[in-house]
Amino acid sequence: MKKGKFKNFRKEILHNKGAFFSLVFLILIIFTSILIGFYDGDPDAINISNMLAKPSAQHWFGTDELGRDYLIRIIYGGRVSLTVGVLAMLTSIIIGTTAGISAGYFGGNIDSFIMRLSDIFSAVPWIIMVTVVSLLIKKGIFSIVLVIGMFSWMEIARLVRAETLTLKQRDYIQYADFIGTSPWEIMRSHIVPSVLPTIITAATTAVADAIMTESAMSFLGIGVQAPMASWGSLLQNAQANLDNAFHMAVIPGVLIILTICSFNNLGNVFRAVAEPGSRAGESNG
Amino acid sequence: MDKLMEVNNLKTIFRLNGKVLTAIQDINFEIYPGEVLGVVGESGSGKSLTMKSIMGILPENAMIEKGKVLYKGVNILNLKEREKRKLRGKEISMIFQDPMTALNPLRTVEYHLKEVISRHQGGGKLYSREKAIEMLKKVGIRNAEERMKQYPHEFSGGMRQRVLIAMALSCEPSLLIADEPVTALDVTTQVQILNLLKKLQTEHQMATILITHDLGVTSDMCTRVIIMYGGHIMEEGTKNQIIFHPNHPYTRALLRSSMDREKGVAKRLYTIEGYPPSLYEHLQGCPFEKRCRFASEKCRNEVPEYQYYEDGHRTLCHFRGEKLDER
Amino acid sequence: MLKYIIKRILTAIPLIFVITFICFFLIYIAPYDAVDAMVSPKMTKQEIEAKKEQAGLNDPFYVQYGKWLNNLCHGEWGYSLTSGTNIRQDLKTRIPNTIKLVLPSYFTAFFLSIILGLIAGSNQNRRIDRIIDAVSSVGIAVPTFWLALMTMYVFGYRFKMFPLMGMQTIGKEKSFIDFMHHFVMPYVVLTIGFLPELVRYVRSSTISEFKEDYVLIQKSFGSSKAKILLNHVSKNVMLPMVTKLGMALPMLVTGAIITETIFAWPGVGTYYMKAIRTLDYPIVMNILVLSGTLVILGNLLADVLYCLVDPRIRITE
Repeated sequence: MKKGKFKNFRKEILHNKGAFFSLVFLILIIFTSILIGFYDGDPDAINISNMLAKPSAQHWFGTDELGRDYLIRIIYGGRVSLTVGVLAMLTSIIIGTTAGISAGYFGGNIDSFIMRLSDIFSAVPWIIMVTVVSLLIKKGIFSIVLVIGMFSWMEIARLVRAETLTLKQRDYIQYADFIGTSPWEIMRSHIVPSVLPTIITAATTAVADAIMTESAMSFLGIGVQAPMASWGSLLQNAQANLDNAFHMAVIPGVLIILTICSFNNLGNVFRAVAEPGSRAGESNG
Repeated sequence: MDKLMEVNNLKTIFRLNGKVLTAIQDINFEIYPGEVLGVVGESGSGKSLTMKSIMGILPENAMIEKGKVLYKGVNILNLKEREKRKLRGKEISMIFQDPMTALNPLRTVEYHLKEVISRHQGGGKLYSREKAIEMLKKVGIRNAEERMKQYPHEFSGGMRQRVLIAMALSCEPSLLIADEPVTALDVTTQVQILNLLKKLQTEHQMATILITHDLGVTSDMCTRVIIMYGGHIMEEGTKNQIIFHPNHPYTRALLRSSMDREKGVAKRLYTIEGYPPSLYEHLQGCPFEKRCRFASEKCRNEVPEYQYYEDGHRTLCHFRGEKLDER
Repeated sequence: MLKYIIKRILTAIPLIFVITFICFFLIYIAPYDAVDAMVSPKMTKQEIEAKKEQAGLNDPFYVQYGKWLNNLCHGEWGYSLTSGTNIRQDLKTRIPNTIKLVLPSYFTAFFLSIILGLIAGSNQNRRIDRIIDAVSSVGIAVPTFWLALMTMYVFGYRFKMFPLMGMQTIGKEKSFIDFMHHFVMPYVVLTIGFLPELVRYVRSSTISEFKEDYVLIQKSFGSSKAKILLNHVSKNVMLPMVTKLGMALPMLVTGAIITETIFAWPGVGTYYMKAIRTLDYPIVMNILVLSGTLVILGNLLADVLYCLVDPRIRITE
C-alpha cells in the first residue's frame, strides 16, 4: 500500500511538469543552503568601495549597501528562511496533530474546548497576533518559530480532527477499544499512521505559509534581527535603496515566490496521490 | 406503427486516468409511440448511462464512441448542441432517481417550472404561471398557487418528485425517461408515484422508458422489458415473455430473487452470488460468466451472440432457453 | 429567525468581554511598567511610588482590569507613551483613512473574484481556467510587500506617475485629485493582494456547484450551460460569499497594515506598526481590543447576513 502510494507519487511528479520543476528547484535551494556551510569567506565582509553594485561577473547578484556580496547574502538568507519555515511547520504540525487527534478521539468537552480555541485563534488577524506576541517574548529565531507555529496549527487540527472522527467509527479501532487497548496506544499505532498522508500534505502548505509569514515579519522589522538576514529582512533593506539598487528588491522576492509556489505545487501532488477522488473526478454509470 | 426512437449499436466509453473503459456496448432497441418499455438491471449495469447517452448529458469524461439514436427518423447524436437542447425537456423528458437533490435549493418551485415552460413554449409570464399551476394540480399538489412560491426544502421527497414530473410533462413530451423514479422514496410514496406515472402515461399517451432494478415494478406497468447486465442488453422481450418464459440465466436468477421476496418465503432468499463486473475488468467472454450457474468453457472465452425467439424475444447467451431447461 | 439573531447577539457580548480580558492580560504580563508613562527622570522613588498608588497600579489585577474596562466603555482610551496624544482622537482621524483605502480595494477584489471565479470554474480545465488558476496560484505566493515594492519602483521611481508616500500633498488636503493620485498605487496593490484567495474560493465552489445533481437535471430540461451558470449556479456560489463579506469587517481596521506601512498611508496600520516598534503599549492594547471586537462583530454580521439571504434558514425557524 505504502509502496503503491510512493509509486503514484513518482508517476505524478514525472507526469506533471510544474511539480517536477518545483521538486528540482527545492532540492537545489536546500542543497545550496547546506553547501554554503563549507564556504570559508566572511558573508558579512564589508567593502565600502563597491557599494550597491549592479549584478556583474564578479558579484552575480551585485552587492548591497555595505558592499557585501548579495549572492552570498541571499544564500544565507534563504538558509534562515527555510530553517524557520521548516521548524515552524514542525511546531504547527505537532500542535495541530495533537489538538486534532485529542479533539476527535475524546470528543465531548475536550473537543469543544479545542475547537473553540482554534476558532478564536483563526479569527483574530494573524498580523495582530504575531506582532503582539513578538512584543512579549525575546526576539530571535526561536521565538519567530514559536510565534508562527502557535498561530498556524488550526487548519491542521481541523483536518486531523475530521479524519480521526471517521477513523474512530472503523471496526478495527472500535475493536481495539473493546479489548481494552489504551487510548494512547490506539492513537499511536492506529490513528497517527492513518492520518499521516493528511499531515504530509498539510506540512507542505504549512512550510509555504511559514516562509511567507516569516518574510512579512522580518520585512516589518519584528522577525529576524540584523546581522542575521532572511529573504524578508533583505527586502526590508532593499526598500531603503529601492531607487538605486532595484536588483536587491527583485531577487529575494522572486525566490520567495518560487519557493512558496514549489511547496504549494508539491502539496497539490501529495493531495492528488493521497485522495485520488479530488482530481480524477467520479465515475458514474 | 412507426418507431418513435431507435437505438443502434450504441457504445459509450469512459476515460479514467488515461485508460479507456467501455461502459455500454452493442445497445440496440426501439420504442414505439405510447408504449412503456422497462429497463431492468442491477446498479452499474449501464442502464442509466444508456439513457444519459441518449439525452446527451454524459459526464465530461464519458463519450459516445459509436452508434445512432434515431428519434422520429433523425439521428439526434449528430445534431448541434443548440438543437439538442430544443429536444431536451420538450420532446424527450427525463426524471431522476433522487428528487431531494434534483432541484436548486435556492430557487422556488415556481421558478423551476416557469423556466422550463417559457424556454420551450414561449408565452408570456402569465401563460407560464398558469401552466405551472395547471401542471402542479395535475400531479396532485394541493394549494398549487401557494405551494409553488415555496422552496424545494419545504417539500417532502414524494412531493418533489411530483414537482419534477410536472416539470417533465409541462411541455408534453413524446418520450419520458424515468430513471428509477421511486428508488429513493419510501414504500407508500413509491406506490403513489408509480400510480401517478401510470395515470399520466395513459392520459397523455406518451412513450415511456421506465428504468428500475425491480422486476416487480415492470410487470405492473410495462409492455416490453429489456434486461441489462455489464453494459450489454442480456434479454429483450414482451412483459409476459420475460416474466413467464425467461430465456437468459441472468433473468431467471433475477426473477427467482424477486419472486422469493414477493412471496415472503421463510427459506433462504435466492440471491445471485458475486458482483457485476467492474469496468476495469477486461472480459473475453460473456459478462455474466462468473456468476452464471450454467457457465462453461465457451462462456469464458467467447463473446456470445444473440439468440432470437418468436416475437422479437432475444437473449445474449451461448445457449438457447430450451437447452437451459434441460440442465 | 429574529429569535436566532437575538440569541446570536447575546452570545457575542460575553465573547467581547473575553477578548478585552485577554488583551488586558497580555499587556499586563508584558515587560512594561505603566508608571513609566507618567514619571520624569527627576522624580524621587517616593514620588514615583505615590504616583503609582494614585494611578491604581498597586491594585490587584482584577481591580485594575475593572477600572480599565470602565474607562474603555466611557471612551477614555488613554494616551500614547511616546507622543502623549489622546489615542481616541488619533484613531478618529486614522480609521477613516484606512477605510478609504481598504473598502474600495476589498470591494473591487470581491466583485472581480466573483466574475473571474465563475468564469474559471464553469470552464474547468479549459485554457481560460488554467490561466486564471495558474495566475492565482502564483498570486497567492507573492508577498504583498514585495508587490508594493515593485509597484513603487516601476510607477513611482521610474515613470514617476504616482507619489511614493502619504495620502495627500501638504497644502492640498482638500484636493480630491491629489488624493486619487496618492490612492492609486496602494489601492491596486491591496486589491491584487486580496484577489487570488478570493478567486480560488469562488472557482472551487463553482466547480463543486457544477457537480450538483440539479445542474444535470437542468441540462436534461434543455437549459444551456450559460443559463445554468447565470440562473442557478451563480446564485448558489454567491450565497456563501455573503459570509466572507461579514468576516471581512475587521479588515476595515487591520486589513492593510503592511501596505499602509510601505506607502506611509496615514491609517491605523502605520500607527500600529509605529506603536509596536516604539513599544507604545496603550496604543497596541487599544487596537488589539478594537480588532478583537470587530472580529466578533464580523462573525455576527456574517451569520445574520447568511440568515437573511438563505431561504433554507429564512423560513425554517
